[in-house]
Amino acid sequence: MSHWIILPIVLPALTAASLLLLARFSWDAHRAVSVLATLGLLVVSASLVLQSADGTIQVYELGSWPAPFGIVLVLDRLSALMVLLTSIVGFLSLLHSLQRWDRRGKNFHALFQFQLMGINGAFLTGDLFNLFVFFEILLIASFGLLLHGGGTGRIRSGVHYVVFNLAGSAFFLIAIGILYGTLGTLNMADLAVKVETAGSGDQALIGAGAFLLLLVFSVKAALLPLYFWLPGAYSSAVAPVAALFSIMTKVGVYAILRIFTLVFHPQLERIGEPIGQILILVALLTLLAGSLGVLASRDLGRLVAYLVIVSVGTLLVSAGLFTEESLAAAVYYLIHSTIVIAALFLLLEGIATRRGNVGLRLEPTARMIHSSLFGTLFFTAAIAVAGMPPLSGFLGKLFILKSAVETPFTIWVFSGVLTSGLLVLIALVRAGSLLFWKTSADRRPAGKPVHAGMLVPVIMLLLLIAGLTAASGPVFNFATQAAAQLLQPAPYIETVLDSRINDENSNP
Amino acid sequence: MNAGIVDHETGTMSIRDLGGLWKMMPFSGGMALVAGASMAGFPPLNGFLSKEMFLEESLHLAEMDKWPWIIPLLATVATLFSVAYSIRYVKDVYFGETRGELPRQPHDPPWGMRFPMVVLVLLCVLIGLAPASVAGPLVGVAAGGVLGEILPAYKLALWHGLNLPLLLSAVAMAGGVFAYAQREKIFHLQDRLLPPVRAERLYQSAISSLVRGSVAVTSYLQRESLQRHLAILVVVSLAAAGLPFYLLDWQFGAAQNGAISEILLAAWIIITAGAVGTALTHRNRLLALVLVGIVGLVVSLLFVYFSAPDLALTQISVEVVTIVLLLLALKRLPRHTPVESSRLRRFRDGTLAVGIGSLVTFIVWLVLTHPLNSISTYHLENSKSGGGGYNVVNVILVDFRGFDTFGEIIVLAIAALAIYAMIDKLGISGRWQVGPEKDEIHYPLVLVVITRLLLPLALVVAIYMLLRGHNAPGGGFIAGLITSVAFILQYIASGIGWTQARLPQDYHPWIAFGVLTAGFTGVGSWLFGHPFLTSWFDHFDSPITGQFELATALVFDVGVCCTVVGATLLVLVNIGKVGQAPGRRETKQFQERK
Amino acid sequence: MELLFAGIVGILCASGVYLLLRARTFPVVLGLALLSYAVNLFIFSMGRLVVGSPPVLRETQSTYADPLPQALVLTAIVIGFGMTAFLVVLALQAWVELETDHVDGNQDSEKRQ
Repeated sequence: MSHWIILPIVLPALTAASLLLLARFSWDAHRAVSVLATLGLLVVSASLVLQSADGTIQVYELGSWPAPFGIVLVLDRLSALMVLLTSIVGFLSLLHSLQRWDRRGKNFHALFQFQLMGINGAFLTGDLFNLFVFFEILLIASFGLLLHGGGTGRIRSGVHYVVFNLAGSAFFLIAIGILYGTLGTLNMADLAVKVETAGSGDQALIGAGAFLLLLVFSVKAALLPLYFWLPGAYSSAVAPVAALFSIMTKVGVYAILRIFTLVFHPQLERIGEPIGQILILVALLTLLAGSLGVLASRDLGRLVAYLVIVSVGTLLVSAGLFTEESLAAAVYYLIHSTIVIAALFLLLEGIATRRGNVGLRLEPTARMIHSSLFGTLFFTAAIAVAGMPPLSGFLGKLFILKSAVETPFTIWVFSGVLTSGLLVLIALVRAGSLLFWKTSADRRPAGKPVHAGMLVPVIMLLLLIAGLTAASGPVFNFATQAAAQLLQPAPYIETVLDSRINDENSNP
Repeated sequence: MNAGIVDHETGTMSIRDLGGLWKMMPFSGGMALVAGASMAGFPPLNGFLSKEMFLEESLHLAEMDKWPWIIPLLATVATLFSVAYSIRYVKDVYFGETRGELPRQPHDPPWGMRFPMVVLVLLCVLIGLAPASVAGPLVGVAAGGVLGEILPAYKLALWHGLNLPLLLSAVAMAGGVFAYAQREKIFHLQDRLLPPVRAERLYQSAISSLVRGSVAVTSYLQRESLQRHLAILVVVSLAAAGLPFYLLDWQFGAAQNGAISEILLAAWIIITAGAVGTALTHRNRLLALVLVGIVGLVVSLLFVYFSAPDLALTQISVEVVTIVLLLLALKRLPRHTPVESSRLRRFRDGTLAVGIGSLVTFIVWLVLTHPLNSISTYHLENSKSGGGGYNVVNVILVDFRGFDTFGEIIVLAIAALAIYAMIDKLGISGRWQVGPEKDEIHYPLVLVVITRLLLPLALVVAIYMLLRGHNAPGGGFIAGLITSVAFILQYIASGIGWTQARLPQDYHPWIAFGVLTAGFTGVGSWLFGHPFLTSWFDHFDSPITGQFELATALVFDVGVCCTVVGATLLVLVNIGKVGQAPGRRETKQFQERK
Repeated sequence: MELLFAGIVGILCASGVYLLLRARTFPVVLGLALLSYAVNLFIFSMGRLVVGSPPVLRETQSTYADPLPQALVLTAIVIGFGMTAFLVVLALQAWVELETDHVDGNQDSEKRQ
């Protein structure tokens, strides 16, 4: 019996609980346990990706109850990939936090571990209500982490973030209620089966449930017009938390990809078909509004926060086409954007420290020490995120554009992606030249020194981007296979519900 | 690069001020000479080669077009001007006399700046001399990538023989020299005919209007008003949940339970009065809180009526703790809400609220008229045999869907941790004190005595609830909440200072113990080769009480109970500790009173 | 009976949403509380309304209420409590640090004393 699949959930949970006991003892032991546990998480998730690489779908029945009566965890290529991404970003953000931020408030490491648990759980679960529970776990952990460090700015955006997301959770419950009340089950695979065979009188109810789910996931994924909570929240979070948040947004994207290929898939006439078109439309608007937001930002933190919105818009435009190629491109772009935006958030910390009082505001100030190092890192990250050759951003956008050729939406996708790329590029060029070239005549740099440890995670993330570029062939193959798995839900459903059928056969 | 070197060395880019740099920067001048010659298209450099091929292709095009001579003519004119400006660059910058004041004394740059230039110039020469071998393969690959597989025949060579392209090149070259000689006249013509358009200024103004536009759009969209964003959320959800009923099929079912019981009617009246009352009187916060409490109580009674005893117990205990929580908050927050929203705003919000309410009513009614075919029949059938308990809800919570419960206690734990961190920050900031009350509060003796007597009773009830939960209404949550309420009463009755001296100071270990217990119950099943949280139960005989049943689910429930107690107490005690730091004025009053 | 119950859910939902849209943190908290009552009753009712048949297995009973929504609502109540507690403390912290209890942190025209 392999328990690897549940480790990404149980390991951080037990670590966090143990950290609460360790808190009264040595602070160093406290930190060491946290780091080691996250390193273990990294190893486990890498192994999970390898296990899923040949296409097997693993099902883990919690409590030994068969689906759909108990809760199941399902490992396929996409969920394994997302868990790996979480571990990578989590580990490097944690390392970054050791430099300064983990001391600035209580219970940071425990909250961080619980946050990782929530994110991993959301990726691995195969049950809709369990998804809600993990959403709540990751939500409340993010509340705690967002407010870590205190300060009026954080509190202000915190109130906004908390209330908005709590309202969203209420709608999630209503959606689950409608679907249970109509179809009588909570398991995702079982829902897929029941939706197919549902009577015509139930269509409106099922549609209402589906669209409410789309709404809830759009709140998490930050789509227009529900993304307004994001710029304030992400720009006020401390750097390691903001970097982790870059993967938290992708939980919403994952949920959309999973539910709307498995349960409300595009072949479903009245309900599934329009979803793709709605997604593309909303994603395009998000893309545009986000790009304008990037250009309008007067503050680097907000700029990168808007880049999150732009990245979500880009990849959901591609995903909305629901072809194997476009989903593969979306997955590749998802990997790229998560890593590069995490790198940017972590880098901003160093830049802010170096610039002193001006912080991240885009105003001219004295030239910073080691500006060439920061400049190179910023330049690399900017090229990657804007989608310029030769880095993975360019390849990702190329894949997306290529997948949009010969679909009814070619012109929309092309104009959206290219316009946003242009706007983002202009914004990054202006920001970069202001930070590193158009420095004021004041020769005295005002900032404080930056510990090397703060930049190591950034460099590692950027190296990963380079790796993603160099290994884009194998990665894209994996993404294509993941997309194929998504678009053919039959094996997933069969594997999950298999155990119940066996049970019924053996106990007539 | 050469221009960059000139700028770097002399400090200026203005051609009118430069000149005669050859004496001071012969190396750069030499490089410029070669590069300029190539740009102008002098043989045997690569510029000549590419211009030749370009002109030849333009002649081929001419055979197919309506105005056949236009393209080659334009090509020749373009070549002509490129000769002219190449000559201008080399001659006006490097030869002749220095015309203006140079900010710096120039000399040849360091090798770091020379090296890239040398490489490129060398390439110019090499490609010109041996094009097929140096550039051939690259051209083949690039052209092949664009055209697909079939490449047309072509020849990369310096000398194609005396032909029309060569003649055109010669014409262009002569014309270029002539144009250079007559350049002042051309400048005059340009100034008179074309407006003084400077590309740089155009670019800058385009960018800044783009930025201004995006700022305008973004500030319009991103007005930082939570109310606005929530209103948008409500509208979108109305659309999301409402449109399917407009576009898709629905029908009312037959299952109508016609009889309206008096209890339900009474509940309806009280809840409506309470809810609407809260909405209307919310400015008086204490009153609103009381009304919400009443609503919660009636909801709990509804749960009793509709066959959900566990749910009712949980609802009422959570209700109590929530009210205590809100009262503690109201101790510090203002007691009244000012009148702020305009009538229009209130009308809009009211409409949205009524809209959502009606939609929800409709959906509930619609669903309730249809029968349900649910997976829970399995739970009912297997609760005793598979889970070992008669209380199916509890068995679902700790066994069938124990993983949900595990997540749930973790939510509580996280909430407590985050709250503790926040209140700790409040204490550090120093503006409000966080600790036991400094001033003396008079505690009513009756309250103290009753709560003290209640404590052991409550604990017994809690343990009883915990133990019987598997087979009768009860369970870990309820036990935990009853315990918490009993302890909270002690804090309320006797003050934090007194109680803190007698109860644990820090509830973090309780939370940790709870989560770890629940977690290791789950991990325990791994040792037997079963997935996480697989339960086990059996019957045992005890000499006094007879046969009893033990289930691992009980251990899990204990973990749940501990977490609930720890989290609830951590939250409430810490909130209670938040007190106002005496301001200077108040201290003075205090001192005067003394 | 169904319509009456649905009416209860709807009214709670409406009042909850109305309060949620207020400008101060305390009414918002109350609104979320009412909204969570509404949502809990919603999910509970999805198991259909059954009077007097609690899902505790007994020999004398043949039909039982649907236990699954009850378990779900129990989970939702507890999670909701955690969220409410957090929001209340956040509102308190906002009051202390920002010296206003407006949801956007806007200052009052008169400062509190």
